[in-house]
Amino acid sequence: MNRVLQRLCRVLRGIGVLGTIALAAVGLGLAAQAPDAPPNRILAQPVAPPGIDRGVLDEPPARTVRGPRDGSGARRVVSKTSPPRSYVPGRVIVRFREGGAAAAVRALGARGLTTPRLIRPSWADFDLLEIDPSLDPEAVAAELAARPDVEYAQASYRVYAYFRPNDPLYDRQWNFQVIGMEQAWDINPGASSEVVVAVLDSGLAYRDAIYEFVAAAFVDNGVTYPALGRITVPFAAAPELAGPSRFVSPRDFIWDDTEPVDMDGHGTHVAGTIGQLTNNGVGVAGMAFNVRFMPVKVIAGDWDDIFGSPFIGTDDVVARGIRYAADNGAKVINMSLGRTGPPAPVVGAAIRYAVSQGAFVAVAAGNEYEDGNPTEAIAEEAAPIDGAMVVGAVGRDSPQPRRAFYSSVKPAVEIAAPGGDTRRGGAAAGIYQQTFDPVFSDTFALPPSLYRAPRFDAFAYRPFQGTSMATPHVAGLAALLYTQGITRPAAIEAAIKRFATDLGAPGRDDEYGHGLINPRATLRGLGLVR
Amino acid sequence: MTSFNPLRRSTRARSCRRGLPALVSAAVLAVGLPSAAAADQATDVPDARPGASRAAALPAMGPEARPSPDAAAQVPSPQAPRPREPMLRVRAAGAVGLVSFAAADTFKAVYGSSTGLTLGGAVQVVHRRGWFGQVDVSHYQATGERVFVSGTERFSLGIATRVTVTPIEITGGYRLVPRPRAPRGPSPTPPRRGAATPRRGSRFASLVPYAGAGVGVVRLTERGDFAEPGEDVEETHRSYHVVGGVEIPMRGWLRGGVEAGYRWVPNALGGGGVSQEFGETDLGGFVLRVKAVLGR
Repeated sequence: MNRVLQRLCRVLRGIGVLGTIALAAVGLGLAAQAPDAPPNRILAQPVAPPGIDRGVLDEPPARTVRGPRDGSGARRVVSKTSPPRSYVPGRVIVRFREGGAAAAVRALGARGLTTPRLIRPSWADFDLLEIDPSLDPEAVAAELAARPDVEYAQASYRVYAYFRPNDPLYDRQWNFQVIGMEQAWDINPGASSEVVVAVLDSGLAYRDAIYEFVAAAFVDNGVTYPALGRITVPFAAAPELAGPSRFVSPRDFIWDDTEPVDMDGHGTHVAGTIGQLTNNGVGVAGMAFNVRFMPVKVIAGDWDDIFGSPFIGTDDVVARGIRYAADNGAKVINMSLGRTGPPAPVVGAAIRYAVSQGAFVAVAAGNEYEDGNPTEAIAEEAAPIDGAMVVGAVGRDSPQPRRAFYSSVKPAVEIAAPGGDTRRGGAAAGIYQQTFDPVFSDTFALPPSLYRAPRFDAFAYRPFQGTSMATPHVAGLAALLYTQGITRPAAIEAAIKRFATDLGAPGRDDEYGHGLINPRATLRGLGLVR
Repeated sequence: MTSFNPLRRSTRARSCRRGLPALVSAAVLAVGLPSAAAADQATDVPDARPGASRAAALPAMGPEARPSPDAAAQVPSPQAPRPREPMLRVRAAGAVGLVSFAAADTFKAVYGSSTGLTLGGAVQVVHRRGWFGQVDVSHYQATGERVFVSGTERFSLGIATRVTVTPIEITGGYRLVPRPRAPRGPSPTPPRRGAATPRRGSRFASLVPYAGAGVGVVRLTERGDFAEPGEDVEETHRSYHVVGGVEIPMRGWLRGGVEAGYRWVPNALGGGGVSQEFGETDLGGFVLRVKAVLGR
């Protein structure tokens, strides 16, 4: 009897093992057959509460996104760069006291430098004193103002229709002031919605939704974080990015679907530099604030890894993303990404394809200067292509920006833009844009005992640094140029190079390429002589 | 009831005919020429008395040589000695022209065309032997858009820019002095075979060809929207030119003329802007002008 029972038990055990194996095989097969509905991510609700703006987070970057870490957290007030003095030569504005005009004019004329002439324009209680154009109007005005028979005198300073965004945190955006964006916006206020900028990145905080994910256990620096099982994660569109019809043709090549929600914050920050809502009285500004975005997710963030995304960011994924963007109408493609190592011909071919389709491509030069300054594969592919530019980073330095400590130095660098350098200036020298509040999004950075499900609906204005932050300045400028009338990618590149402000060694060099972008001059173009 | 009054009609017609000479007189007076009385006489009389017009037109223009009112009425014989011309005559001219800039690619890129209309005027002093000196001013202006040029492609940027080119030129040259025309009407005696015959005839027989060369300055301004201080252009450059043309008498003191010339303004362009992209440095070019000249 016992033998019979033992045999029966063995048989049942065997059946159980076989059944387990069979079920596992079926499960794996199903998983392989249905990549469109990965069990690890389910859209639980297509709506969610709107995002929460938690204001400025002045911490130094908790983790330098796609770049080296940096420490100093000292806070500095960003000083506004004042526009250069500009006045009309050969003219001074004067208001004379009763009977003082003749004596003052005689006194000036007696110096033999000029034959001054007084003009009383209409609608004026003052005179315009025409002087020798070679004289300094400010000096003449000061001399006149000192006379007792002169009520006031001043040079005839030019007045501009400055567009200065009313965004309250704009003062922190030294990056826009150092490249003269206010004057550039006078010429082209923020591009237009005709221009679609594809942001190939970690996704974009572009929609309100609630997803369910399965969070597996993971090990970070030898510390094991427990599995959270199936969790519900709220997402919201970044309040400073979202707008009616702002996002077009979203595509996620990491989860292989059409919902490229950001779970990292990098893509959302980069998009902000390109086109943060501007002059809306909230937060910060963006360069080309009227463009539409095409969120294309080609980078897997830490949460994508924890949630078990079917793909990670690899050359083939990036290449597919580039081709997707080009085929879906993107006129500018921002690639704040890269890798070191062997060449990436698949990406090079995709960039060439995109350029042939009329899309300008901006690529980050890399952040590994202090890590041996290795070869950046994607930058190397992009550099020789007319219509694709490799972007290095500069920090906030006075009187002239200098290369950021991390920015790669190599022949591939074609242009420089502000990328921030918190080593020289602390957090205030980073690039401020809206992205996720890490208190809610980066819970994996907490100790295991505090580790919890993230939420991606709380936002803050954070200073990041990196060539990732420099690249969207060039993409934004390309969008402005496209609207201004330069529509061919190679011509956009030529224009950006032509008008760049030379930095470093004269001419092109490996630190700054052709120099710092100069949006105003580039947008204004050329006349006969200047 | 109003009756037809031929006398009044005739008076009116006469006053109309006097209108243009009166204007001419005023202009001539403005440039210090003698009274237009002689011109008035000359233009009013000639049809009735062939030769009178010529007789009044050719004599000297100085006050001391002013013909008496009766002079126009006299018909000089072909053998009569011609009154001596004044040493110098002063004339004024207005011109409408067409300029074709040598920096064709540059002007085409920014202003859409390398040619354009010019307006101008000149004051001329003519020696009786045909030498002349002239100071003239012309003006060209155009409105275009600032551009970016990449290779052979031109991208207009929608930013308005305005250019003016104002040459002020001094010219010296020589005019072929026309031979005196034979009076209209039958010759009193047929010319002998082989003898020189005074030219007869048409107005084209009085064409006056001339040629000259000179120097000048060209004022170039270019003003564009969104310019910062120092970005607008206000420059003056030295220029050189040659010119040639013909004049034809129109009526009394009024002459028409066609003139062609070429101007060199080296190194006025090419220091920046589109001209640097194209490597064009000369602001000069070919000029064709139609002129109206007041004076003999």
